[in-house]
Parts: sequence; structure tokens; C-alpha cells
Amino acid sequence: MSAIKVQNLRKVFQETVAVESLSFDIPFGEVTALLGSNGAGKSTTLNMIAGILLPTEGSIEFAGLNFKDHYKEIKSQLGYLTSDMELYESFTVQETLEVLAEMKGFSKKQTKSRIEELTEEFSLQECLHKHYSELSSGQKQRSLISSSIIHDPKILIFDEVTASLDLVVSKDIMDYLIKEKERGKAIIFSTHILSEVEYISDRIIMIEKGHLVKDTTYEELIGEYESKNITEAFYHALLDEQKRSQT
Amino acid sequence: MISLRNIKVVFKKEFLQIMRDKSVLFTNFFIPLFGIPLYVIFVLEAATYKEANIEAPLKDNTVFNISYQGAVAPDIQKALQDDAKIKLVPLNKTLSEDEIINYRRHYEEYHDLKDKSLSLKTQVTKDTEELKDNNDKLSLAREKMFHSLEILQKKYQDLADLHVAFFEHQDEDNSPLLTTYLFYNDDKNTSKAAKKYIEELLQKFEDQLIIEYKEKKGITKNALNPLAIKDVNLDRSSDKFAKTFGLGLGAIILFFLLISILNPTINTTIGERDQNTYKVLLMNPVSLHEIFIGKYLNVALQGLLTLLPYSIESIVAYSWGNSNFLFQFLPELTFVKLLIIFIGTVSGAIFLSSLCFLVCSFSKSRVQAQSMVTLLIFLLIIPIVTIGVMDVKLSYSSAFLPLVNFPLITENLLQTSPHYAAAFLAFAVNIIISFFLIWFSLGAFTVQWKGKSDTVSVSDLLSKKKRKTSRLTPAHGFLAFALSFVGYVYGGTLISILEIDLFNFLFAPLLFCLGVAVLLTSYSGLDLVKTYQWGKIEKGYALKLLFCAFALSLGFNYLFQMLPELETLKVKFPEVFGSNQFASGFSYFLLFAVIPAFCEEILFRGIIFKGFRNQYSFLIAATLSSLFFAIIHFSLFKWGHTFIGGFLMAYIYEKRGLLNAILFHLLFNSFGLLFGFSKNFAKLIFEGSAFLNGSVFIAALLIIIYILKSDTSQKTNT
Repeated sequence: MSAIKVQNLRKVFQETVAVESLSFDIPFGEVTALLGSNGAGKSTTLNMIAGILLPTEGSIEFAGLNFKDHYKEIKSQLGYLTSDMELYESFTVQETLEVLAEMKGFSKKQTKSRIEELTEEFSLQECLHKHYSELSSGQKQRSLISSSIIHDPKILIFDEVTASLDLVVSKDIMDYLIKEKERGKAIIFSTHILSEVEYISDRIIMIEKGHLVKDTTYEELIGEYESKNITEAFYHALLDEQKRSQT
Repeated sequence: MISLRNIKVVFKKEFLQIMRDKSVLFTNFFIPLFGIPLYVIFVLEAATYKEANIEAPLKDNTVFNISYQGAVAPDIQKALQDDAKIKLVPLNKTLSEDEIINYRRHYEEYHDLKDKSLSLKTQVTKDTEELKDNNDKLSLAREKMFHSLEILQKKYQDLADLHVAFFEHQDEDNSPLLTTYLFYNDDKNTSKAAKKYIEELLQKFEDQLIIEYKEKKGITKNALNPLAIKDVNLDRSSDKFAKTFGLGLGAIILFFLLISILNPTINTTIGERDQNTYKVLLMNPVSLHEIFIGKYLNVALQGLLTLLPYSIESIVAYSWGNSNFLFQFLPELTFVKLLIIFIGTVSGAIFLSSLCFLVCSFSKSRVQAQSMVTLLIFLLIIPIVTIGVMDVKLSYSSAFLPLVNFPLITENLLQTSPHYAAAFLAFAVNIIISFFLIWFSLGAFTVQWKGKSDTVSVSDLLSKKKRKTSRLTPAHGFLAFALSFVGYVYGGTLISILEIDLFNFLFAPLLFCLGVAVLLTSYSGLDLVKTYQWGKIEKGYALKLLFCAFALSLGFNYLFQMLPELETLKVKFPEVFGSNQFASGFSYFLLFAVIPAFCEEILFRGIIFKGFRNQYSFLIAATLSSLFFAIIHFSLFKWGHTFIGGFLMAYIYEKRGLLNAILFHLLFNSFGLLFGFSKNFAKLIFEGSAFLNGSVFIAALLIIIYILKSDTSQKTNT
């Protein structure tokens, strides 16, 4: 059974069609990269999958469950993070994690234990008792990741989370995703940094102007365009799509 | 399924966030608990009201005859009568116990008969003028009616140079003591001169008295100080200053009250979205409803915590602004009155929170929310300040908001027989309206946080690029209401200030409504004919409407008899407009039936109801448009019948189009006119029986609903 099953997804903002007839599956135990140029509809798609935006049409299922009937159940298994997300400035990192843990139904003991794990995992010792507004960008990102996975979700949705981070922090995040994949989690992430795609993704979904362009593997994409690397392959794929849409 | 646990967690998080926000702490706690009281104390000090000079409490000595005391006090009389410059005119009367009781009652009645003070003033003026001598002679005024010191102070301010009062009481040894009060106006040179003259005179006389008392009584405290002379400055300039500030305080309180509720509401809705922390919240297994409720409860709590001190301060401001003796009403505060204050505060807090949530839920950005807030404050403050400062009796601006229960509450509380039923009715209205506001807010909140296609906002309508729409939307409804509301409030205020005969200009606000509707429709690029869905008038249905309009009008008139307060709803046309040169049967029909029906229906059903109906269910659209319709009538007590009427007309429009809604409205108003002029109608009412009168109304309503629902024609609108 697919972790995420998207069927004929459509999103219209007033008169602008952001996403049109999008369909794909995301399995457990794999990392799927969602690629596309700026304004292609990646964030809109991920927001709909995460339940942040209501789709205009179409359906999204999570291991056979839909939002309408199993909202809380699905949410308790989703971890979502975007580059523009922020935490509460007047709360310390610890307080934020405690609030989020409480919202997810954790007991105090469970909360304490989980926070200790995350502190260890993401080196939060320095920032745990600081207010979010006092953190550096790297500390903020680690805090955000911790907050999004505090409940150890089975499905991770990351939208350009490494956009403003340095290489070291970015690699740490990628390594973390690989580790989670090996634990059988389903991961979908979007990025403009193609080296990350190369590093961790098993599958690639390309969208352009809201339409699905490619749903393939990394090797197949490289092979299709006989490219040396993902950047070249992606570029050719985009060009092909632009030509196709013009005709 | 809504989880209380989730609501509690969201509430806790929101509460912590708010309590850590310094700007919220300042507006919600510092200002009401310290800022306003400090301000009040400052102004009280600045007022320099010399009540402290009078040692004996006035209430216990409400009766004394100023001139009489002087007349029977031989020492004083001797001192003053011998002087060529003084003309002392005593009253030849001894006060009996009964008269004292009578005069005390006069004092109490005085406060209920404020408007009749004119006749008292005239009498005093006349008396004083008889005594006054143009050759710089001092005048001691004579009173034909006996009043307390306080009232005389108000009366004599501009009439006499100096007012001398003799006040007999007892010292701690129970020896009689005579205190002489000299009331003067520090702002007038003649008054100051008169005071100085009398003081010197009495000082000279006191020296003689000391010698006499020592010889007769030995050296006692009284012998050494036989005359206690105290002066009281009646200069009213500072008092007027205080009064203006007192009335202005109500507006200041309202301003800060709105800020104190709007600030956290903006932070918790738009603010969270702008800061992108809303996604953190939405990623939890907490439904949007639970998030909304948790946030709303928090805002309501903030409102209550802020409103409690403000409600007390409002009462203080109100009594001070009306020049009542500050805190005089306190002994009258019974448990029931305290309960009313508390319930009023709670319902007011709920209402304001709901209103703020509605404003913020419909805003796309913090800036937009703040702009709407500013507009809201402007709409509320300016009319209320206008009323307060200019002392304009106007129901328009002060009656539409349940918030302004405070003036109603305080006015009721300060009366001897407050209208409890009216107060509780107003609170119930608060809660009911709040429920609908919350309901609409939830819909808008969902759109704001989770997005929805085809959302046209008010700012879109006002922009050049996005103003063209394919159909009416809720944004049209809100904008139309806002514009017509502003027109009514300010137009009505202007008419009242300029004292224009309402009859001559009643059509103005109505035509303004029509103008707003037509302008908004054409500005959005919509076809006037197709947009309003006129429908057709058919004979059979028209007869049904005729019967329904009659039944509704009759039912309401019976309903009005149930509560004395609602008697004010029954416009007594001949009394109000009888003197107007244009008043005739035809002009009444035109002004009160035809024009209102046409103008109001196009706006409220044609634009507002239809705009909401295009996006929401009939129930929501009819409720909201009827609510706006009720508000625009600007009378707290008219809400009931205008809301019900509005709802019925929305139903008629939904079924049969605008022409039929107009016809019903016209017929209803026409019957209202007939009942208003009818002298025989009163004979039909069940005297003193609320049950029977109310039953007639209920029966009429049920019959109307049955008739309208039994209409099996196709819907005109979809």
C-alpha cells in the first residue's frame, strides 16, 4: 500500500491554476524528490499533501486513509517542514517542543524522553533554553526539524528545508533522511539543490506549470537524456516540457 | 469530533503567547488597571471641586433655608443689616418637620426632573433680579423653594455675586455651631470683591462676638471661635473641564478596550499566519475547529479580564460626566445591579471578541486587519464622542452596539427603578449575535488558514485591477453594509446636530442606500437587471403577501405591548411629525413605505443577501443580511422585529425575487403606518397580559411561515 496516493489533484487560486491533474504514489521506505522550476507548483502540492491547503479537486490518501474521515490519525503520522516555517518567538525551543508534544498526546514522561533524544540527534544542547528569536539560522533549522518530527512520524514532507543552510547542516539533514528511509519511512522533499537529489533520492517527480512531467528514478532520468549528471538531465527535461507545452 | 483536550492545549499555548507579548500586557493590563485610574485621579485633582471644604455631609443636612438662617441668627443679621451696602431679605417662615421632609423629597425629585430645572432657574433669576441693585450693591439671593447646597451651587453660579449660607450643626461637645459658607466665583472680580467685603465684615463682627461670649460663657472653644467662615469657589470652568473629560473618558475607554481585544486577536489570527507559525499548528492532530475555539476562548478571556476594570471605570466616567455626585450611586448598588454589571461585562466581552474575530478572520494581512480595526474604531468613537461632547440625543450611534450597554446599564442603575428586563434582553441579544459572528468567523478563518478558490476580498473590490467580478460575493455584502452604515451614522448625526426636521430628510439615508447598491453593482461590472433577479408579481402571491404583511405588523404591535420599554418602538407619527408642513397621508406613505421598501430591499436583499447566498447556505446568508438590516435601524430594541422581518423578506426574495420582497416590505410598512395612526388599536390590546399579547405575535408568525412555506413555486435564485 502506498504511503501517499495522489489522484487528479487540482488547485485553483482565483483564476490561476496552480496544480492540474496531478497523480502519483509515494511508497514507504523510499525518498522521493519533487523537482520543478520556480512557480511550478511544488510547494502548493506539498501543502495540499500536508493538509495545509485544501485542494480544489482530487484526492489524497495516506495508507488508504483520507483527511476527511481520518484527519487526526493522518496528522499524527505526518511530519512537515518548509523553508518559510517559523517557531514561536516568545517560547524557548524546549517550551515549543513540549507544547507540540502535548498536542500530539504525549505524556510528560514521553515528552521528556523524546526531547532528550532529539537534543542528542540534532545537537540542541546550546539552544534548548533559548528563545527562538535568539537562535542562529542553523540552530533554527535544527529546532524546526525537531519540532516537525517530535512524534516520529511515518511520512516526512520537507519543502526546500536546506535552501538557506550551509553545506554541513544540509548534509546532516540529508543523512538524517537517509536514516529515516532505512527505518521504512516515506519521504518526499522538494529542493533546487540537485546534488541533494543525487545524494539521497530513489525517485524523482518533476512538475512544471502544475502538470506532472516525469515520475521516474534517478538512473532512468540520467539514462533518458544520456546526461553526465542530474543537473544536465533536469535541464533537458525542462526544455522538453517547455517545447511540448508551446506546441 | 471536537476534543476538549486539544482545545485546552491550544488555549494554553495562546495564553502563554499573549501573556509574553509586552504590547498586549500594556494595553490589556497596565492601561485598565493603572493607566485609566491614574488618568481619572489626575483629572479629578485638576477639577478642583471643593467638596472637601464642606465638613458636614450634605445628605444629612439637605434642608436649610439660606436666608432663613441668616434671618433668625440675630448676630449675623445685625452684622449685615447695619451695613449700607447689604440688602438682606429674609424669608418669614419657620421650617416644620413636614416641610423638611418635603424639601428632602424635592431634592431627590430634582434629579428625576432635570429638564424642569429651567423653571426653577427662572424663578431664582427673577427673585435675584428683584434684589439686585445696580449701584454695586451685593445681593443675597432668596429662594422660594428649598434645595440642598449642591443644587443651589449650580443655580447661583451666574446669578449672584456672592451667596451666603448659614449652616447650623453641632461640634463634638454637642454645642451648637454656626458655620457661614461664602459661595463665590473666583473667575469674577465682582464676586471676589464681594467675598472679601463680607469676610472683613464678619471678621470685625467676630471680634465683638468673642468679647461677648467670653463675658457670658467664659473661655470656651466656641467663645474663642464663634463664627466658622468657610468659602467655596464655584468657578465652573474647571468643573466643565472635568465634565468634558469625564464624558471623553468613556470614548477613551472604548478606544483602549477595542485595542486590548483587537491586538491579541490580530496576533492570534493574522499574526500567526504572517509569522508562518500557523503551519506548526496545522501540522498537529488538532482540527481547525479546535484551533479556532482555543484561540477564540483565549481572546474572549482577554476581553473579559480587560472589560471588568473598564466596566467599573465606565460607570465612574458616566456618573462623573453627568455631573452626578461621584460614587453617590454606590449605596444603591444591590446584588441584582451588580449581577447586571457582571453579565453585561461578560456578554460585552463575548460580543467584542466575536466582532474582532470576524474582522480579523476576513482580513488577508495584518495591515488590512489593522486598517479595518482603525475604521471600526473611527466608526464607533466619533459618533459616541459627538454624542458625549455635544450632548446630542441620538439613538443612531449609541444604540446599535450591545457594547454600549454600558451607558444603558449605568443609566438604568442610577435610576431608582432600572429596566432590568431591557438590560437582560440586551445581553441576550449580545450572546445571540456573538454566536452568529463566531459562526461566520469560523468560515472565514478556514479560508484564511487553508485557502479556498474564488475568494474575492473587500480590498479586491476596491482595487482597479480586481474589481470586476462575475457575480455578487460576500465581499460585496460587507462593503455595501459598511458604506451604508457609515452613511446612516454620520448622516443621522449631522441631521441631529443641525436640528434638521427629520421628516424633510428621511429619504436621504434611504436614497444613500440605493446609491451604494447601484454604485457597487456597476463598479463591479455587473448587470443591474440580471444581478438583482427581480422576479414577477403574481396576483395570488401578492394577496398572500398582503395577508402576511398585515399579520406581521399586527403581531409586532401586540408584541410591543409586552414590555413597556418596547413602547418606544411605536412611533407616534402625529406627535413626532404632526407639525411638519409636508406631513400628509401621501407623504407619509411615500417616506415610510415606498422609499424604504425600494431602497432597503435593493441593498439588503439584492446585494447583501445575494452576495452571501452565492457562497453560503440560505440560513447563513439570510441571518447575516437580516442582522445587518437590524443593525442599520439603530435601535437596540428594534433588532427583534427588523431581524425577523429581514429574514422573511430574504425568504421571499429567495423564492420569488426582489419585486415581491419590495412589495412585502411596502405592505408591512404601510400597515405599520396605519397602526401608528390608529387611535382604536389600543382597544384591541390585552391590557397587562404579556402572555396573550405574546401569543398573538407567535400565532401571527406561525401563520406567516406556513403561508410562505406552502408556496410551491420554483426558486427564483440558486
